[in-house]
Order: sequence, then structure tokens, then C-alpha cells
Amino acid sequence: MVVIMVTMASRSTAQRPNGSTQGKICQFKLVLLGESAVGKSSLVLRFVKGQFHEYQESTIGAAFLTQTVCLDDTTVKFEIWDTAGQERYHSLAPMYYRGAQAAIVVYDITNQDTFVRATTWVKELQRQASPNIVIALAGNKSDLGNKRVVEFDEAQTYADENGLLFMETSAKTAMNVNDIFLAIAKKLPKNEQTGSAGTSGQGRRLVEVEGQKTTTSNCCK
Amino acid sequence: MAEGEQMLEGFLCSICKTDLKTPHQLTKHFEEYHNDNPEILKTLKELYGKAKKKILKHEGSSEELVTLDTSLKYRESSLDFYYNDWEPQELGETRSYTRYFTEVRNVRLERYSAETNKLIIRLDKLLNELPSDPISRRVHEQSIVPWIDDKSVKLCPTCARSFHVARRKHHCRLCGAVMCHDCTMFLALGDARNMVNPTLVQDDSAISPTSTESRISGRFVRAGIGLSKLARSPSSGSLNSIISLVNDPSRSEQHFRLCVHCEELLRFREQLKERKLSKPIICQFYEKMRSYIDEANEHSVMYNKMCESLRKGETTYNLQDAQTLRVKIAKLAENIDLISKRISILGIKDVDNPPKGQTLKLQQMIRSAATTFLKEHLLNSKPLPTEEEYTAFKERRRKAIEDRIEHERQMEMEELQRERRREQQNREALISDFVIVSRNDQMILDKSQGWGPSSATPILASSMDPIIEQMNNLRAYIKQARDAHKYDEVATLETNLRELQSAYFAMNQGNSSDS
Ligand SMILES: Nc1nc2c(ncn2[C@@H]2O[C@H](COP(=O)(O)OP(=O)(O)OP(=O)(O)O)[C@@H](O)[C@H]2O)c(=O)[nH]1
Ligand SMILES: [Mg+2]
Ligand SMILES: [Zn+2]
Ligand SMILES: [Zn+2]
Ligand SMILES: [Zn+2]
Repeated sequence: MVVIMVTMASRSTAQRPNGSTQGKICQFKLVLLGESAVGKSSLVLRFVKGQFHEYQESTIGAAFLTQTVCLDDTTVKFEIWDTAGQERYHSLAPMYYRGAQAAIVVYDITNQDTFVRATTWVKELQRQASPNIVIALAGNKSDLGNKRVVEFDEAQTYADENGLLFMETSAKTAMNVNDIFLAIAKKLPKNEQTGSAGTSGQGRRLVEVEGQKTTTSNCCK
Repeated sequence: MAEGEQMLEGFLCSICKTDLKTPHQLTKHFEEYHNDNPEILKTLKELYGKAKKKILKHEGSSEELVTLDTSLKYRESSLDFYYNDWEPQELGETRSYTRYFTEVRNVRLERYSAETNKLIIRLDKLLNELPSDPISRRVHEQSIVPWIDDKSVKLCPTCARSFHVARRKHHCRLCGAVMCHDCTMFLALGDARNMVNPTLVQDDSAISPTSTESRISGRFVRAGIGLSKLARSPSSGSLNSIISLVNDPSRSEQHFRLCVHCEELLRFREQLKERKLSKPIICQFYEKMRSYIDEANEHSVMYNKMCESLRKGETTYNLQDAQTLRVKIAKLAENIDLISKRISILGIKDVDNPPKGQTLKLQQMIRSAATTFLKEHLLNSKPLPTEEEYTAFKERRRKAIEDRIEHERQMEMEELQRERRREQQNREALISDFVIVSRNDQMILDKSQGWGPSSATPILASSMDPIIEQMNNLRAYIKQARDAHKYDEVATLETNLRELQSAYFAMNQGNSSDS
């Protein structure tokens, strides 16, 4: 196996093809984890397409979606991997949180078990994912307040103890959905390398493994 | 005018009131006797300017007028000095008439719309529980709109012809007035229902925006129309009922008889409604063209990026994809060219009323904007490398990388470690920055920027190895991303597919060595 270090490839260029270099373009890999039916796909669908389906089909394997947002002078492109919550797909999860710069761990506020499962996901990420990964905890279905079993304070305390971002969300009403992605985007380092677009490639590295490429950098590919 | 003063007429001097008989002589007189007064001369000139056209029509005086003209020109140039020296004149008292205008206009509009609304309300009442039996229907109609006593009407109030056996009296169902048959129209019940239905949008309005007129007039059927003319009426279902009406009087219950005045008000209202709903054809063309331009823009950004990357010999994108995209862009360019050409000649063939003035100018501007766009953005795009060139680029890139690696290898690890430490520090500093600086800035989210595949239909799920399932998923996603020309997404998905393939390979190796 040959490991080749190369300087950044064209995808990582912050320059637009038309030559304008106004603003930075950052690309982040984000993964969603959580028990089945907590609403991971629904959250992503809301964020990416502004839609909500009452009868969202259970995800198979992992779905891939992208969304681009503008934040100050930076264009942030999220590459979102929406994993399947069913246990039989657990083995796939590492493929997707590996190399991810951010993760949203989702539970359903009307189901205590899903909160417990969320905490084990957080532990797994803390052990196996990139040490710099930004983790957000989302208590979804906040529109079903009358069926709540997981208290807000309980989750907030847990999130504080583990250094997680925390919000209660609702894919149905869109509450806090954009906000949680915004909070993540803000927390992600966007300009760790300073300098002009021309020299910005020097600090970036791509690792080519037998013709494949994975980024080891966290930002502004 | 003061009492006893005589009314003077002719080419009078404004100062000494002498009648000079011709303009030429008047000007000459003025120059000779009063040339210290430039302002008056200017006024005189303007006055003649206006009168000139009229005077020109009179024969004989043309010679003198020419002299007048040149002499005034001469004076004018000598007067320039004064005019240029004057300060710009200040604006005096002003008064806005907008409010007055809208007041007057509103009163008129109200009168019109109040009248029309009255008719619509009556129409609604008439339609409500309309009896099918002719006798009770007549009672119902008169209970809503009282009919005027036809005995007092000797002549048709519209065409002023007398009534007799062959020209009978008819009542308008909306105003109750008496008219002759020729001065009334039939309004089909179905159309009447559509008129009073506030929510109903004509579903055919979008299809033929140009035929608004004919569709509206088609709703009203000339009561006395001959069969030969019926074909003109495009209003669908009504044709049959009109025919049957002519042949079978008992079926006349399918219509309301209206006088031409009521009909006119209703038709005007329908036209307004239609106008609000329908878009001019040029808008539709333009919107179509805009959507092509937007699409072409998006694609050409992607294309340039791919082209640049391929020329560097990178393997991020695939040459075939770039070729497909190039073809796609060329097609779009062709469409933009065609549609803008159509816009530029829109209505030219209409001999009676060809586009002119601002309309024509707009059409031409759209066309020239489109051609400029094509020239600047699409036609100049860089060509793609050929297969051979691309292979050579890739080879060159590989060589360059290998060379550099040879050179950097030893320093690499060392440098990497140093940098990791630095990055870590930077990042910590930055994270705290971000938290502290937490402004209430908003993220701008454009939903059209988002992309995701439509859910892949699971093929024999559950029984399959999850990795294989996911590989199938990815293949379906890649296809969708490619179809949507989302080549960055294609690249990411392909990378993931390769990862899964090698993971699957490694797993099977492990299994076989276990057994
Ligand atoms: N009331 C309410 N229902 C929600 C919300 N989010 C998701 N749902 C519903 O919950 C169900 C499951 O949602 P999914 O988005 O498929 O859940 P998932 O986490 O992607 O599930 P898997 O793909 O199996 O892992 C669907 O019927 C959604 O309509 C929410 O915020 N409020
Ligand atoms: Mg799902
Ligand atoms: Zn005089
Ligand atoms: Zn008449
Ligand atoms: Zn009438």
C-alpha cells in the first residue's frame, strides 16, 4: 500500500472557476447518528429540501445529501451522511463518522431508550471518531411536547458535561433545524490557515491510498 | 377688456400696437424700434413657431415666412449670450394633482364596479336554486329582478326599432329592461356559474394567453346568430346547447337572456379577470429563457471547474462526465439562442399591429442580452483535453507528485508533527473565538442549493449484507447525481463506494482466512 502525500487538489480550491476569490468555500463532512425512527432523515430533508414527510421511509444503509449555506463571507457546503438507525446497519456507521468534521446525534424526546442509545453513540464517537469532531445532540420531535419523557434539563446537563452542542428540534415544524446546522457551522474551524488562496494549498494534505483520496484536513478543502 | 376699447386684430406690435400686416414687417419693425427688449423678441419668436404651421397653409405668404425664420435664427444666436448668462430658474409654487386624480378615478371605478357587482350579486341569486320548470323559473327570475312593464315600451331602447309580431319584446334577466331579440345575448348557465364563483380559475387560461378575447366573447352567444356563425364560438360545451336552442325552444332554459349593456359590463369584468391571470406570451418565453440561462450558468461553472481539474491531470472528475456536460451546455445554448430569436421576432408577422416602440425595443434588448450571454459565458469555454492528452496530463501529474515526495519524504513527518501542534493550538483559539464572537448573524440558506437523491428503492433488502446494500444504494445515488450534473457529489459518492469495496474485500479476506 502506497501512501502519498500531495498538496491540495482542485476540489479544494477556494477560487471560483470564474476567478473571483470573494469569500471562502468550506466543505464539511457531517454524519447523523441515532436510533431508528428518531427523525434523522426528516431533519436532513427539512434542512436540505425544506420538506417533511409524515411517512418517512426507514433509511437503508446511508443516504447522502448536500446543502450549501452562506455564513458571513464564507460559503459552507455540508456533505451529509444520513445513516440508518436500524441495528443491522451499525457496522456501516464507522465508514461515515470516520473523517467527519461534525456529527449530529439524534434522539426522540418522547422515547427514553433513544436518549440512552444517543449517549452510547456519543461514547463511540469520543472513542473512535476524529478528536476534533464537533458533536451536536438533537432532541427531536419537540412538537410532541405533551408526550415528552426526556426532560430538557437532563439532556442539557448531559450535553454540557460532554462538551456537546444541544438543541431540541422538530423536523415537522422546522424548529431549530437550520439553527443546529448553523451552530455547527459556526463552531467548525473555517480559517485555520491564513493567507491568500494561492498559498492556502500548502498546509492542506490529501492522502492518496491506491488511487483513492481521503482528506485528512478539517477545513476549506 | 376695458369698455369702449376696440378689438384689434392682425400682426400687431405688442408695444406700440401698430398693425404691421405681415410677420416679416412686424419683425423688422421690432428690430428697428424696440430692439432693446430681447425678452419680447423671444416671446414673439415662440408665438410664431406655434402659429407657423397654421400660417403655412395660407398661400402666398411662404416667401415672407422664410425670411422671418432666418431673421429669427439670426436673432436667436445673438441672444444666446443673454440666455446662457442667466441663473437656472427657481421652481415656483407647485401643486400635486395625484390625489385629485385618484379621487376622480376612484369615483369612476366605484361607479363601474358597483354597477358590475350589483349584476354579479343578481346573477348569483338567479343561479341559486334556479327552477328547471319554465314557469316557476320565470317567477324566480322576476322575484330577483323585477321586469319593467313592457306595455310602456314602444321602441327598442337600444336600436330604436318598433316591436311587432316578428320583432318581439324580451326582458333582460339582470336589469329587467325590455329589448328586441337582436339587442340581447345569451349567457350559458355554466359560464354564469363560473362568473360568480370567486375561487374558480380558468384552467385553460395558461395554455392560450393570446386568445383571451375570443374566449371571453365566446361565452356570450348572440341570440339571433345563424348556425353558420356558430363555429366561431370556441366555448366548449355551449356549442351543442346553442344548436339545440335554435332547434328546440324548450332547451332555452340553458341560458340567461341579457341586454347588451349588462353583457358588456360582465364581459369587461371577465376581461379584467383574465388579464390578471394570464401572462403575456413574451413573459412566458422570457421565463423559459431565464431558466435555461440559470441552468447553463450553473453547468458552466461546474464545467470550467472540471475542465481545469482535468487539464491538471487530476482524477477527481471523469472525462466522459465533462463531455456529457459540454453537450448539455451546448444544447442549452442552442435553446437560449432559439428562444431569444423567437422573442425578438414576436408578433412581427402581425401585419396590422406589429410590435413597435418600447415593445419592440424590449424584444430586441432581450435578444441582444441573450447573445451577449452566449458569447461571454458559453461560447468561450475552454475545450476539454482529448483522451490522449488527459492520459498525458495524468502521467505528468503522477511524475510531479513522485518527484516531490522523494524530495519531501524525510521532512514530511517532522513537519507534520510540528504543524499538528500548531493547528491544535490555532483551533482551540478559534473555537473560543467563535463562541465568544457568537454574533446573531443569520445563515443564508438557499433551498435550491440542496441536493439529495430521491430515496432508492430497496432491492431485496434485509437478506443482503448491509455493505452490499449500501454499495447498491451508492450506485443508484451516483447515477442520480450524474443525471443532475452534480459532479462534486459524484466524486464524493465514488470515493465512498471505493472505500466500501475495499472494506468488503478486506472483510472477505478475513473470513476466508478464519475458516
Ligand atoms: N411529530 C414529529 N414526527 C417526526 C419528527 N421527525 C420525524 N418524525 C416522524 O418520525 C418518523 C421517523 O422519521 P425518520 O426521519 O424516518 O427517522 P430516522 O431516524 O431517519 O429513521 P431510520 O432511517 O430508520 O434510522 C417519520 O414518520 C417521521 O414523520 C418531528 O420532528 N416531529
Ligand atoms: Mg432515516
Ligand atoms: Zn411697435
Ligand atoms: Zn333592438
Ligand atoms: Zn340588462
